[in-house]
Amino acid sequence: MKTHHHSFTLKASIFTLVAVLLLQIIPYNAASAAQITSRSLTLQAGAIDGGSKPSGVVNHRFNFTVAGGSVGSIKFQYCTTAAPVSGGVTCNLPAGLSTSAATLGLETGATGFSSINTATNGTVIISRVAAAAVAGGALSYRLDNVTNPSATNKEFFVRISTHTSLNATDTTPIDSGTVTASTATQIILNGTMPESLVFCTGATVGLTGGVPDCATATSGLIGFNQLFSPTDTATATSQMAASTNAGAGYVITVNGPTLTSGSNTIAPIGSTSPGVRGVSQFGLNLKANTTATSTIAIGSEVATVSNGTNYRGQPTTAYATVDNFKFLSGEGVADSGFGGLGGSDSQIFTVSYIVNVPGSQPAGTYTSTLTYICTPTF
Amino acid sequence: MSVNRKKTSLSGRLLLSVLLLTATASAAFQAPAASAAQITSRSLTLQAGAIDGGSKPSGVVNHRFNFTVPTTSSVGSIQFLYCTTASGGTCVKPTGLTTTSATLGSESGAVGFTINNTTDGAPYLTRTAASITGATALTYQLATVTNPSAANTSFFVRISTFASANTTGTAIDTGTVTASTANAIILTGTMPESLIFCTGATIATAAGIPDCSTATSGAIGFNQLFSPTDTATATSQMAASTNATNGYNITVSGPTLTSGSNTIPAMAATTTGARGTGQFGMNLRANTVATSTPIVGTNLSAVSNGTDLRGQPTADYNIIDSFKFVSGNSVANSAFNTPGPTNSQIYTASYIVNVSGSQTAGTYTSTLTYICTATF
Repeated sequence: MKTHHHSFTLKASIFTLVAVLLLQIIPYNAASAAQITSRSLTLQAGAIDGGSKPSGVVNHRFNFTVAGGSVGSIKFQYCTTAAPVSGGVTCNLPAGLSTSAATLGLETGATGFSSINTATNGTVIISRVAAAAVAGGALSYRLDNVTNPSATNKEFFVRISTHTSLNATDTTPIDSGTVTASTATQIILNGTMPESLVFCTGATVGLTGGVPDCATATSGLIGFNQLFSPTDTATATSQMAASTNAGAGYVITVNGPTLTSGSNTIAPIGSTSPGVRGVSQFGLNLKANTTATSTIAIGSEVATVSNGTNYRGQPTTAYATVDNFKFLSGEGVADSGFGGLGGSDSQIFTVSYIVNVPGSQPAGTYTSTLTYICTPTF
Repeated sequence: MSVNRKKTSLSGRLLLSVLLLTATASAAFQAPAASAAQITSRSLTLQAGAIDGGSKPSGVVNHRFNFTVPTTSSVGSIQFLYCTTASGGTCVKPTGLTTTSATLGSESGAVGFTINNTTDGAPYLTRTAASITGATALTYQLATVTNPSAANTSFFVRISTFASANTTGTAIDTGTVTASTANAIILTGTMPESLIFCTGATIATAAGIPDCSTATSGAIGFNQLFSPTDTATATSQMAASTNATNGYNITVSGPTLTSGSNTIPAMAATTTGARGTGQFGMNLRANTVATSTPIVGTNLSAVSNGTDLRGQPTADYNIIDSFKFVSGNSVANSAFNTPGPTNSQIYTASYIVNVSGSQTAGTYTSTLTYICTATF
């Protein structure tokens, strides 16, 4: 009795060992199918959703290379595993995945797949009249409007097989291979751009990386290039930089008295006009002037040049004529209205000042403290 | 069984009540601005104070707020919260900013407010709550606010309207504005002691102003050969301006017309020209045909006014058709009305020559030097 039992156990063990060996040698269903190579599944963004978004309605692009054969259909079977699982279940559909609305968005390499069968959720079969696929040919197909699996950061598998039949019913496919992809947690970055105004003034404002940098603004103490003279025009410049995201842009005003020395003053230029030597004049503009104004031309145009989109800075009309000057306290000298009032990236304005004096201008040191005010309207 | 159903029913109602209470409490204690609407067309304009420019760091200036409230509601207070950031939780008051002396300078759109400036950096306007119609443009000027001390730096003001008179409760509307301090531009230039003086055959004007750069050569010939029967004439010009407090004085220096050892006598006293007599003289006037044909000379231009134009010939050289030449004599000064500074004017010096019938033939020359001396 004991010997009989021992013999039965030995036979069972041998049978099991042989069965396991056979399973290793004879793979399921692909017994004679060649391996699809250079295969990949790229998740591509749909109309709204990112490609790897869980439950996102996206596009699945398959790239692979086949050994050849007369191909009438290609099957894409979505599973939770790369290969069949034990217990007789060959493919578990990833939760949430839906191919029912899939369409063939693109085909290259072997084309003419005019029919798509999405009747069985998770299995998409594209078909055509059987035709030879070039051995080693790189194929690409994109299934659009596929709903990704719902699990986050979870891989899923697609078993690709080519068939001679038009409906992928052949027991043995021509070629087969598995690709995998994974859903992924969407990275949702949040940041706030507040109401913004960056404005500075100084003798000069420098650039950092090509962008006006208010940290480089120098002191506002500025001397004229020469002593005042009835026979020549004294000049000076200052700079200011401004940017804002205000919907209605910014306006910059200049405020302050004319040049004054005790009770003596130099007359401000009341209306925009050229400088005249020998006449009492203090004025400014925001342009690149010529030697018609002074022996050494002074001033610069607004930089960067405005384009009406992200650069909108401009001098106001009264201060925007080359070699013409004006000074009226409280008046707007610049705004971000080029191409329509709006937000603007930072630009540098160069303000040119001129002084002419008559012969009788009393000697002395003349000073004016000017305050530039930039007001954005949101 | 019936008892159990009743227990279940009671438990269900209790659970429902708790849920409802939780929901109500949640709504009541949510962040104040959660449901606030956005204030639009909002801006902060920095305006000059009594002394300081509007954007001056640490300047005591005025802050004018313009904005439009979107919601029709009863408003009892409006808060202006000054911060270093536009939003994002805790408000940090900008360094140097002071609002404890702020006053309500002006109000429009919705009026009747007074200011509460007790909390530095968070002044608010208060009144008995009254309705403001939506889309009303409001303007409030907070005067004597001390700007933040950092130069070229933005700061933010969070504006909120409240139903309460003291900014408690949930904000009705909110919005943030920003402004920036800026370096004051201090322009300095020096007007030195000045004298502009030039001479030449002619001096032109530029834009009406005598322009010494246009002065031509001083080599001048008389209009005709000297003759006992006619008066030869010539002119030169000079321009002068100064800011000297005591004005200027112009002298003429040089010999009379000379040819070798021969001379034409200078007119030692101011007199009219006499043909057939040896005379060399000058004046600074517009003469008539009594002197020569064509007439010679022009009056000083521009005409003096005693304020910024003070040039004048001196008495001896200031009589029409009368001439004189004494080397070293003053011929002009800036003393019209009183000595003082003057803008540029052009003098025209007229020279005449009369000769006697025996005047030795030759080319007669005189090199004259005009000297302008300004006294500051």
